[in-house]
Amino acid sequence: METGLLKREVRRAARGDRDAAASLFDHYHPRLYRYALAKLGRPADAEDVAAETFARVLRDLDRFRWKGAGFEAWLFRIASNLVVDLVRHENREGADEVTEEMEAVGPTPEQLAIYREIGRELDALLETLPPDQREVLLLRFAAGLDTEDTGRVMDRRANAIRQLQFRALQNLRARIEPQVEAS
Amino acid sequence: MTRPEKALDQALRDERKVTADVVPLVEAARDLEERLDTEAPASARERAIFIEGVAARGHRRRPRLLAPVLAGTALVFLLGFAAGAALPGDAIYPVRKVMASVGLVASPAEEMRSLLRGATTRITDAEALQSRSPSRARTQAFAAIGMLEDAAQLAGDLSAQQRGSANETIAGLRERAAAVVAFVTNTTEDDSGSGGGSSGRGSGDDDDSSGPGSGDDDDDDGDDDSSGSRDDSDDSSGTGSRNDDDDDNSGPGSDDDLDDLDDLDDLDDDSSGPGSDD
Repeated sequence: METGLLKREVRRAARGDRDAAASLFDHYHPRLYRYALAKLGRPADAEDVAAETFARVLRDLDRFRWKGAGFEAWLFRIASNLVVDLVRHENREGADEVTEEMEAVGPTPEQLAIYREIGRELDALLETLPPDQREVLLLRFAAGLDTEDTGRVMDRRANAIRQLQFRALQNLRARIEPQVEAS
Repeated sequence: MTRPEKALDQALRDERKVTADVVPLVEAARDLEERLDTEAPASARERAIFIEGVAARGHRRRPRLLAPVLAGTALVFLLGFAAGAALPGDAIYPVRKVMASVGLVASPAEEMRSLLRGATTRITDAEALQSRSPSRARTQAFAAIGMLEDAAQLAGDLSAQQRGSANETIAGLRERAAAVVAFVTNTTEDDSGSGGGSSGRGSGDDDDSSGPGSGDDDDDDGDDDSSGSRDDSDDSSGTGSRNDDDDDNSGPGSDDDLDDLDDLDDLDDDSSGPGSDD
């Protein structure tokens, strides 16, 4: 959505306009879902994150101001925090004891095999990337944010995001090629 | 930032800017994008909740904006109301002075006039009642004394000339009020000491110095008792506070004193008001 149009839609929604609300939901809900699904890997959780993000938007829309960070950055920062909260909650309950360091190292061959079996090679590949590189790729190509908004969500400068993006794609490609050759 | 990183970013933004060195990475990015492009569920329920929530929130906004305005207005009115009754020395008194300067509340001179009129009326009534109903007379006298206290505080805000006249009037009225209190106190004491006989007190000599000079029934405090105090038939009951032949109203606090307050705007223009002579 073009920035000028997005601003108008957000303003109209803040005034209670149903059409603007519908437009925002239809435009961003699929992207939020894709981002959360890529992060969590579970459709039900992804749906919850997307729904909760809109609930937070509804609650805080009055307070949202266009100061530096745009609406998209705000939206995906909410979603990103919700994902982190969900993962922390799961970790606390012992459902997922994988630490961030272990995630950075990547899945074991056995885990990779399971992922392949259920058709989630991509998830497996992304899991092998360092967390910040993975986050850049998901915000850029699942959420559809540009470099600037990705930087706002991650609290990094746009230049730093470009560097991360470059290295992430190099790493991803390096991991894809052996799989392609093997297949 | 190194050149390939910027070149990659430009290529990702615009396919026409793809250069040879970043082609593999752009392809990896497109591949990733394609794989991540899963279809989201309809989420009709969440959609409806969001849309209706936005609409409802929009309706709520007006009262949220209105509330501070209403609260502010109420505060101003409350402040104004409180300030209207403030006296010198009160924390809120400066507000009252400002309000008086723009005509929102009575000026000190107008307030003084009002207090002195009220005090005069009550004292006159007290004097009329002192024999028939000492307790009511005392109540009226005490009320008058309270008003005179307020008036004395206000005097500081008047001009020097007005203050002199006002203080003189206040002193006269205090004297009259004190006389009533003394009279009813003595009456009560005598009553209790003599077994209730009260006919002798005040029924004979009419002490003009007490200044019961008001024959005007214009009692603006609505006290019905005052009307009875001028009933000549009451003389038989021994009230000595009212003599129909009495034309000496020049005791302290009498109307002549009020007339002295010429500088208090038109304080004396209401000659038919309480405390004026018939």
